[in-house]
This record gives sequence, C-alpha cells and structure tokens, in this order.
Amino acid sequence: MAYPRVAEVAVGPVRVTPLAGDEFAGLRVTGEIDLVSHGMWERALRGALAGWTGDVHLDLTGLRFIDAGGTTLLIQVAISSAGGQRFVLHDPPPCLRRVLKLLWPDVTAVVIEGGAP
Amino acid sequence: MTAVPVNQFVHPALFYSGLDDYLAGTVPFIQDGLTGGEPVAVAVPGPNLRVLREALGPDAERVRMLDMTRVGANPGRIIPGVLRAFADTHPDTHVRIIGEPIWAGRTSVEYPACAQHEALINHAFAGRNVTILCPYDTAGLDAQIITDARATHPLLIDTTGSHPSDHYDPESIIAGYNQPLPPPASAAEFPVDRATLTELRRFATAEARRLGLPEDRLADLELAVTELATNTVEHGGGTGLLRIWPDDGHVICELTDQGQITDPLAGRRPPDHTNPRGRGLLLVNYLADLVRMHTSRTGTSLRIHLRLPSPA
Repeated sequence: MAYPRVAEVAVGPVRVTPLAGDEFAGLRVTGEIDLVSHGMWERALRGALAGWTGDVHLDLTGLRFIDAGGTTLLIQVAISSAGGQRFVLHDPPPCLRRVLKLLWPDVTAVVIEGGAP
Repeated sequence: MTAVPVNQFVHPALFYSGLDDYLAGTVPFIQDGLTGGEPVAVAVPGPNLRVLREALGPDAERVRMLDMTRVGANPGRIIPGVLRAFADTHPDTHVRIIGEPIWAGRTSVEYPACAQHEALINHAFAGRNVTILCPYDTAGLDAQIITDARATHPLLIDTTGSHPSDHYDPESIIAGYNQPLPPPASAAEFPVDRATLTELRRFATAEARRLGLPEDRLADLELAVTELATNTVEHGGGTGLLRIWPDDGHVICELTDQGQITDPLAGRRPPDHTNPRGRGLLLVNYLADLVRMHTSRTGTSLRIHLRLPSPA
C-alpha cells in the first residue's frame, strides 16, 4: 500500500504517521505501544476519527508490540465514535489479534482487513 | 435429590465415590434442567465428560460440554471464561452449571488457586439466578480437599441427601490460601520501572526463549509480563522486581511490588463493553496456565506459569 505522508509524530519507540488520501484516511504506526505511549496513541486515534467521516485505516505492518491497554484504547475509541466509524486494521501483530480474540471477540467497530484470523 | 429453588444462587458440593454416585448426582440435575427448558453447561475433566455424554445419549446435544482440564487449567479463568461466559448469555432464566475444577491430578502448586476459586464463586454469583454444582471425588481426593469443600460450599449433597454446610466459611479459604510463595533457588531478575518497560519485555522474552518456551507462547508471555508490570507501575507503588525461572516443566514469571490487591474478584470479571477499561489481570488469567498470588499490606507477588513443551 502506498500512502502520501502528511506529517510524522515520533514519541519514544512509537512513530505514528497520519495518512490521507482521496478514498481513505488513517495512520501508519511503527514501534511498540505500552503504558508510556498510551496517551499519544489515544490522541492519535481520536484525531484520525475526528478528521474523517468514514472508516479509518491503520497500517500496523511496523507495529511490533501493543499491550492490552493499547488494544483496549483502540476498542474504546472505536466504540465511542458517534458516527459509527470503524478502525480497519492492516497486518496487526499477533499480540493485538490475541487480545481482540480473548477480550473483545464481538466488537464490530474494529475490523481486521481480510477477515478474522 | 431435592428440588432446586430458583431465583437465587445455589452452590452445592456433590460428594461422590465411584461412577454410580457420580451419575446419580449429575444426570438428574442435567435432565431436570433440560426438561424445564433451562440452559445447562457441564465443565468437568475429560474422562467424566465422556461418561456423562454416554449416559445422556441424545440429550447430550442440548448441553454445553467443556473439558475443565483444558478450559479451566488455570483456576483464575474459570469464573470469567467458563462460568460467567455461559451464565451471562442467559440472563433471564435459571441457569444450571456443573463445574468440577478439582481432580486427583491437581498439583500442590495448583490446589491453593483451585480452593480460592471455589470460595470466590460465592462472591461472583451472589444474587444470581444460577445453580453451580461442584462434584468432588471423595475416593480420589485428599481429606483436606473435602474439608475445604465444606468451607467453600453452603450446601452439601451426598448419597444421604442435601444438607447445609456447618463449616461454610469462604473467607477463611481465600485468606488461608493467600500464602507466601516459596522463593526459587535462583532466578534471572530485572527491575520493573516505568522508564524501562521495553527493556523488561526484551529481557523476559529472551530469558523465556532461552528456557525453551516456543514462539507462540513467547508472545503470550510478553503480553502477560507487560500487564503485570503495567499494574505495578500504575497501582503497585511504581516499581517492582521481575524474576524468571524454570520449575517442574514450566517457565515461571514472578512480579513483586509494594501494592496490595484488595479486590477479591480482581482478574475474574469478564470484559465490559460499556466500560472497556482495566482488564489486564483478566488477560493474564487467560494467557497463563496457572496464576498464583500472595498479597498483603506489605506487598504483592504474582506468579504466572507457562508450560514448556515435553521433551521429544
């Protein structure tokens, strides 16, 4: 997938790059998300939802690790979307899939591109 | 067997000796539920599951049947992942569950967690329209286990009928099995600190890999250790110590900090879609093969056990 880059936000080991295009909007996330980066992660997710009306895509190819709190924030932000926007995850790491499957198997506001593992 | 009252929580221990006792105590319970249109689940060790399947014949199709040695290996996950997972999907009717979490093969390391689990069922299901029947094999289990069952179950059933337990005292079990955990002879150690969580993960994963934990379990260990460390940083005083060592075919990770866990049902509540926060300890209960804890005013030690593959 090729996206035009708009800006980069680098905090600690996590880099979150907003993406924008005519058909989609989202974020490219690289690095690791844990307690230290939860605040930035939540702001980035809310910001992406606010700046778009449709589903928001997350390119997670470079995301090496995300803790349960990080995945829970993803769920929480998605559920809170007033416009029913969803997060569409591309290439999520195994730890994210695991937490989704164990804790949030029925949530529809977060989908993995290509269907359930 | 006496009629089961509805619209209240009922938690009997069924003391059985031999197959005939087992079936006499379980099959009518199941069939009464099916006849009454009630949802019925059975979570017992595999061999007993097979015996029940045979005894029930075609009725077995209408019962949710689970092997407790698989779904409940870690007792900490039984309340959220087995009992409530079933009961919560049928909130408007009386629900029947047979749960057998203690069998002859449970080790002395597992047993304290089993006993605490049984005691905590009373907390978790207070006021619920649910009956959870717990079979205990009096022929195969130590006398202490049977004695503890009298403390964790308000009602006792055996071949003479059902009687209230004179020794019902679940708090004594929760407190009594909250024991200091025996220290290992040696262990790899790493400090827990907000500033070094990434390094902690690397350390834990590398050490567990060195001890032979396979890749898929390493991912689980990384998640679980991160949750425990996060809890230490957020709720446990901010700093602590991670220790990792092998024992009895398992990798053990222990996190010690200065906090105290005062919520008896910590880690045993299913996720709440209306309030999706704070389920770190629940996740740990789902990921680990066993979780043991000692908590007091001076601090908390949490141990997760992950089984190593058997030597080829």
